[in-house]
Amino acid sequence: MIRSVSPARDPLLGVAVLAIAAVYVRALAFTPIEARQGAAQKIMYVHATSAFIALYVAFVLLAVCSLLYLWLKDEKLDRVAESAAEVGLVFTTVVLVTGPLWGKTIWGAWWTWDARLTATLFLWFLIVAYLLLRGAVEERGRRARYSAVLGILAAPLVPFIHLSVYLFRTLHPMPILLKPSAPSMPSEMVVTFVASFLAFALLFIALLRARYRIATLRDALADHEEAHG
Amino acid sequence: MAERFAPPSSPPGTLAAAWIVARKDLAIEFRTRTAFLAALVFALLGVTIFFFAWDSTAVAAADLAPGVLWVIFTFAGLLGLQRSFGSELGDRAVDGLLGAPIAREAIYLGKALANLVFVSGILVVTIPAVVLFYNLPLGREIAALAGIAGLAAIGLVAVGTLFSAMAVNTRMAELLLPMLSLPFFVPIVMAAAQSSARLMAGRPAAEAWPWLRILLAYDVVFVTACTLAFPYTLDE
Amino acid sequence: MTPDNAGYMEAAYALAALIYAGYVAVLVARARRLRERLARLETPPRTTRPDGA
Repeated sequence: MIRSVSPARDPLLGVAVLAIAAVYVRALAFTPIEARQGAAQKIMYVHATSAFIALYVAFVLLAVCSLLYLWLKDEKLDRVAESAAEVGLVFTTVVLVTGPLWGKTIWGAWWTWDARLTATLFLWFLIVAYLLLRGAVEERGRRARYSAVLGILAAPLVPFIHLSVYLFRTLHPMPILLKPSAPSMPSEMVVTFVASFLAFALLFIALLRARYRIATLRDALADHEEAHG
Repeated sequence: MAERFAPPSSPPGTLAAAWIVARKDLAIEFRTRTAFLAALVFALLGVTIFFFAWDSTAVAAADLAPGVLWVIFTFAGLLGLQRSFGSELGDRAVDGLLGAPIAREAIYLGKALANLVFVSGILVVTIPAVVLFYNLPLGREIAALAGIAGLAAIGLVAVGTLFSAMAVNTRMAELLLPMLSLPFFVPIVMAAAQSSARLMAGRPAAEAWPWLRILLAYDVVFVTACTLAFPYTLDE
Repeated sequence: MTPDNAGYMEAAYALAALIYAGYVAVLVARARRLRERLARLETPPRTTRPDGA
């Protein structure tokens, strides 16, 4: 029988939303304001964490599941790839919306054609193209194969774009937390940053699971309708 | 015609088969010539339209020309790529191709080879047109420019041929091919435009070298990846 | 000196919350539509009603 669950009653998603709310309270009210950048520095707690998850979790998951799909031909992998793409698009959209707000006050410009910005923008375009491609193919097996091919080819493309723009020029600050030496941030900020990362990671997992269930339900319904006319 | 494409006694190797597929496509193209002429006229029109969107007192011709050349090349190339697998749709001609005793990779390489001839033909006319229309002093650099053009064309065709095979089997094929391809053309356009800008400005060739390396790496990575991925775009 | 740019921060936090909440709403609506389709498939008894009312 087809199992149906509503994201509205999903306990994991509820916990994730509460965690994000707690991070918001901590970041906005209980984390010191950075002296040189001012309050806008706190945008990083949302922006950088979402960016990390979009690029290194969602996008990598999309590429890996695409590759495994072509090998194993398991529909579950296709559904994970589809879900990772869509949830990744939401995270990338947040990155592209919050980034310019930080850039406007710190750099004095909403947008610059810096390596990271350009690569993120094209990541967004690629995921949109991926989802459009899925929407444009009727037959399920073909849809999975085509989108897997795109999901795999996108993986080497993003580093290429990053590299070519890097050669062109770059402005973006280097990652502060993940560099080899000790993070150059006061410990209160580090705690907020790590808490924020965990909360957004939890949100990603919860959204991915909710989206995956919708894909399963949709495919099961399609099978059902096919079988019973 | 019939005997020229008569099947040999044993199935051809991958490269020989690719050559047969490419020859078939080029023969069709040579008979009609419509797609090539249309893409060519489109490229030349693009070059002239850019000219009128240009304030020659503010931007030097040598600064503008590389961008014009590679943007136009990309769009004209898309016109050719659209037709690459579109021509197989009529009468399900692709079934004949799939039924042939050749490797699937050979179909891809053959199609890509035909497309390479197509876009190279466009470049052979468009580059002199840009040099003429924008009054560029181009002498010895023309050989280096031809090398850049060749590398850029290989990268464009490698990715574009694969996406053309996918896009024809979707709704909204004409829109989807540019949507899929253009992000992949970004490193090509950037590297080709930057390296040819160095050459057109009379800078030493060594300054263009980092960009050429990117083009070269791009070609190696994407020709390999697309050749391996192509069989998955065909119906079993 | 510390610049006064709290407005940018508030806008960024609000927009991020709006985008994530909007997506959750989209997921809830989609799941509901699918469950309704499922219910329509499973509940109608065997009596044939060609108009499907």
